[in-house]
Amino acid sequence: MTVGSVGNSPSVSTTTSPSSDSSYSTGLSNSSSTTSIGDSDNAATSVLSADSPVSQGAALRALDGMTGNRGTSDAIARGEMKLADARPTAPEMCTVEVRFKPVALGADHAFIVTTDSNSVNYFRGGPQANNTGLNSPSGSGGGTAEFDSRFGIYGPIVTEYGAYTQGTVDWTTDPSGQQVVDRLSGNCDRIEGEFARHMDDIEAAQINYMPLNQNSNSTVREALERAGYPDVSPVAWAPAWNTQLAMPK
Amino acid sequence: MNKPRLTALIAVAVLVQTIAGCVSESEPKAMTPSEFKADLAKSLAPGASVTDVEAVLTRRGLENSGLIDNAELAHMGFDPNTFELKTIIRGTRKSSLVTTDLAATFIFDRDKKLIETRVEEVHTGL
Repeated sequence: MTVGSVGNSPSVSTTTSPSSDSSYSTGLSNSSSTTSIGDSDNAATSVLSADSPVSQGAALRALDGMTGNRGTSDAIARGEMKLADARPTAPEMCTVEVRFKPVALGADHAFIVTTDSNSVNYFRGGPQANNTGLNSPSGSGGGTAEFDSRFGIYGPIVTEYGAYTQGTVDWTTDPSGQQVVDRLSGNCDRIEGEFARHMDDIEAAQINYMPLNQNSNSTVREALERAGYPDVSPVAWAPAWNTQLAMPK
Repeated sequence: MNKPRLTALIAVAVLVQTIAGCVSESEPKAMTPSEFKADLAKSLAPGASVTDVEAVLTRRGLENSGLIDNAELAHMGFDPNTFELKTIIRGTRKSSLVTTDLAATFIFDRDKKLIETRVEEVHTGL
């Protein structure tokens, strides 16, 4: 799927981006392909609307200028190519980000967000339980998750992923930190499949969640490393980011 | 921040939270997943439409995700034969280092009729 609207817009529109991330939108609209799509589109439209041979010729030269060769205009002139085929489309991009939310003591919780023209998805880890007994429903020492003596009061690390939207656990329009890890050609399906698999593997490893030693930040770093991003340095204070989770590779 | 200093800071925070937790025992009891699920079931039986679900959530002042097509998430293992809609009650429990939310997922078939409601706690820590 292409990024943005090509047909009716003079430039690539970012309105189809489901992301609320302004930096992402700005990045797309500043790309060099933005201008070429709009201008060549206008040129191709001029070819169709030109009513004299002179103006048609001028419009075709303009199209040649946009595309850098005469192949497209020649094909249109010969009636071998439709207007829609003449319009170059922007290459689809997938943006991989780490975002952060404040949790406690000025420290942040990290999660991964992937964005393409069709969707925004998240990948995160966290504790399976919150059995501290503080403000718990029972008010007397227990949350609703059963205590498993193999783990601490927070249980093992559990992971979650899916559509990143209002009503989901890490949703925020005001992250405390945000960094682009990579921009990939094509949609996000491949990298999302990878992240999902890594998250499943981390959860399956039954790793004890320890707030200061191995936590959601360690989970994100581990998933990034396994997906080929071993050197991401967090832009926010993310305790235990560099912890290597003890799990089979 | 060096590690001993961080550990001391955390220890103080935990102590303060422990004292606060004892003091706050008289606070209203938070809803449990089973209570929330039972409460939702009173208004939303299987077969309910997406509009029905959204209306119930809106009446309760709960945010919702809108309808998510799981066919578009099949590459991550989601069931392509379903849609889902999510809502969340944030901050049902808090301790010094972890916050708990109550998350509900409404699963719909391809005719967009409710087939299942799942409710679970989701915890967020560092």
